[in-house]
Parts: sequence; C-alpha cells; structure tokens
Amino acid sequence: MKGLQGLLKVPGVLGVGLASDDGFTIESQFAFGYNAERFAAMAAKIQQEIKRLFADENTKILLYTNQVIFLSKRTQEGVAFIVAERNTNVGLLRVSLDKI
Amino acid sequence: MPEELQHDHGALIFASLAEVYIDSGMIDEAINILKDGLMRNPSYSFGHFLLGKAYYFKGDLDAAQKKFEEAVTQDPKMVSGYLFQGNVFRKRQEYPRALEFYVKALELSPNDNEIRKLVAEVEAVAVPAPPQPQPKPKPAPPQPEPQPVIEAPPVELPKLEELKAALEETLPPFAEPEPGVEELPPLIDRPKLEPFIEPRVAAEPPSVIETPVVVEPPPVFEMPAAVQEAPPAEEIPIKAKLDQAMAKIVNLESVKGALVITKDGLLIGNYLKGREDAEENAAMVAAIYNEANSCFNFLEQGQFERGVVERKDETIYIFVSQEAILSVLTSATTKPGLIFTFCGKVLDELRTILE
Repeated sequence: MKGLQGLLKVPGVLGVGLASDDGFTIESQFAFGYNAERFAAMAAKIQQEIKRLFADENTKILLYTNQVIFLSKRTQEGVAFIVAERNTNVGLLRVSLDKI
Repeated sequence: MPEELQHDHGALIFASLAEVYIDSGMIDEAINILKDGLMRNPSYSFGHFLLGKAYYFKGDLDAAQKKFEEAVTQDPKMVSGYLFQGNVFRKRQEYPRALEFYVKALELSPNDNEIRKLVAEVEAVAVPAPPQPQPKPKPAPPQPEPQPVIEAPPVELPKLEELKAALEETLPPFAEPEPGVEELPPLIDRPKLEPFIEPRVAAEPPSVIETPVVVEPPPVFEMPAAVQEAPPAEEIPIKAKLDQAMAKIVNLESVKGALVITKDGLLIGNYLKGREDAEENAAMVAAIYNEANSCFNFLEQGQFERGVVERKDETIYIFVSQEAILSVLTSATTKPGLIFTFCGKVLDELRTILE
C-alpha cells in the first residue's frame, strides 16, 4: 500500500485504495467528494468478472471513461485500484501499479 | 475453484450466446459454438438441448433427436427436451410417438396450456392408432387379420371424404402445380406421410390412400421459416470496407487479431488470426464492457470509452464506438500507445462504415 500512497503525488490522481475480494475497502485515500467505498466495490466487482471470464489471477485492467481513468490490479493483499483524472499521465500510473 | 468457475463461465457464455444465435437464425454459428462449448462441458444438459434445437431448425431431425435424448437423459425433468422430441416426431409424421413425448411434457408441466393444445392436436391425428398393431397383419397376410382394420375405416371414411371434398374446393390453386408436387415439402410432404397411413388402409384401394395424405397437414409449427429468412444480401460492400479498415490494425506486428462486435457480444467482423474462439472472445469482451460501463454509470463517472485488460501472455484492448466495440488482441509486449493511436483512427472509420 505504500507504493499506492506515493501515487497520490502524481498530478491528476484522485485517489488510491485497496479492496478485499468481496468489495470492502481495506485502505483508501481519496480526494474530497469521491466515495472510496464505491470505487473499492467496483474494483472488486470488475476483477471478479475478469477472473470469472479468464480464470486468470494476475490481470491488470485500465479503463477510460470520458471523465476518469480507472486502474486496477489484483495483489496478494487484495485488489489495488487507482482513480485519476482523464488527462493524467497513464504511463506513469501503469508502471507504478506494476511495482506494487 | 478456477475449474468450477471456468466450467460455469463456459456454460453461461456459450449457451446464452448460442441462444441468441438461434433466435437470430444464425443456426450454423450456434451449432459451432455449442459443439465447442459441449466439448468442455459435456454434462451440461441445457447445452445439449440447445444443440438439438439448432439441428431441429436446420432440418437435421436425426441429430436433433439424439441431442434431445441426451438432454433429457441428463435432466429427466427438462420439459422443453420432451416437447422438442415431440416436435421432431410430429415433423416426421410419427404422431403416436410425438404424442408420447408431448404427454410426458404435459405430465411435467400440467398447467402449460400450449403443451395441452399440442397434445390435443396430435391426439386428433394420432387417434387412428389401430394401425400400430399392423405389424401383425403384415407377416400374416390372410384375410382374418385385416378385419379389425376394416372396422375403423367405415367410421373415418365419411370424415376423409368430407375433408377431401373440402380440400378439393379450397386447393385447386395447389392442385395446378401437381407436376412439381415434390417441390412443396414443408406442408404437404406426401412421401413422409405415406408410411404412416399406408398400413392402416393397406387392404383398401390405393386411391383412398392418396386422399388422407393430403388431409394431414396440421403441423403449421414452422419456425424454421423465420430461420430461413436470415441470409443477408447487402453486406458485401460493408464487409469489404470493414476488412480494409481492420487490415491496418491486424497487419501490425504483435497483433494477434481483432474483433468487431456489437455491444451485446455478437460478431460483426472476425479478424483473429488462426483462432477459433472468436465467439467466446466476443462474448467476454462484451461482458467486460457491460460490467465496467454499468459500474461507471452507477458511480456517475462517465461513459466507458476504452479499456485494457493485461493478462500474463496477452493483452486485450477494448474500444467503444456508438454502435460497436472494437477489440484488439496483442502479445503482452505490444506498445499500448501504438495500439491506441492506430485504433483511434480505425474507430473513426468504423463509425462511418457502420452508420
């Protein structure tokens, strides 16, 4: 989780967190106005769907909407996730997520 | 656990997709995906049933019958399995057997009025069941045995004559193409009926046999008609444009292939190189898109535009345009920026092609 917290310094990052497989927040730090618990639930849900579809444990996902970028990866501690603004340097976030 | 999940996943994905294919009249596609899915889930009774249904609509009644049998063997309470078996025999004009299966279906689902109606319809046709003991008269041709057969015709003859008269009145337009009668199989289907009726009226003049043959066209259960309407004719130019646009991506080094699909997982274009799991991939991509999009909508964080799923040995890129989803499969080492750039351009082209 230390690696994740360092990401908060990256411009555009709105929040980072760690969720359990069933969607509960283990740890999170988000900008004001963003509901970490909802993103945690979403991260777990999408990772579950990916796991169900591919029967694959180590999948990293990167999703773009017209408002935010959402990154998520399954780690030993749980599902790590990052939410960032649309114009954030995704390359940097992706590399940082790899290091977790 | 992963095995269970995989099993479950396979079952859900291929069967539901196959159902959509069957409903859309894409029977061959449904058969392919079902065969493939059943190889991995051989004990999935509903899958066998769907495959039987696909064969049924394709007109391969033998294969359909086998599959329905397998389905009800695995799940003896599958009403639709019995129902379709009944349909198969009904199509073959083997009404007593059709009746057996319809009755079985009705036993399992006694409140189903549709099945009750089918039972009544087939019962009406199959009532002249006495012909069934006919195998006995055959081996022993002497006169004493046909007697029970002779008892029945007097009761029916008036009916048949009435019907014949009625039909003669209404059928003159059909009677004209007599020289090519063989070309009208679905409704009149003479050759199929003969074996059923022949033994019953065996002792009677052949002219009488012909009339009941025409009398018997009740099964208007012709769903395959809708199926036959499927073949699209004007897709060729669109396909060519699509191929041209997709070539830009597919020819990139380290790209394993691409798919253009609808948002509900149906294939528009398959550009996977040397892989036969296009339908499954399409379904998975659509599932990921729908899952992510519903989450984002729920969180009020905008509309899903694109996504990347990075697995150990390959990466799946998903791009969404208004009408379709473009999915690109690459090796894990491909540079994402390259794919994003190319796909952005191709996506613009796809929008205009598919508009």
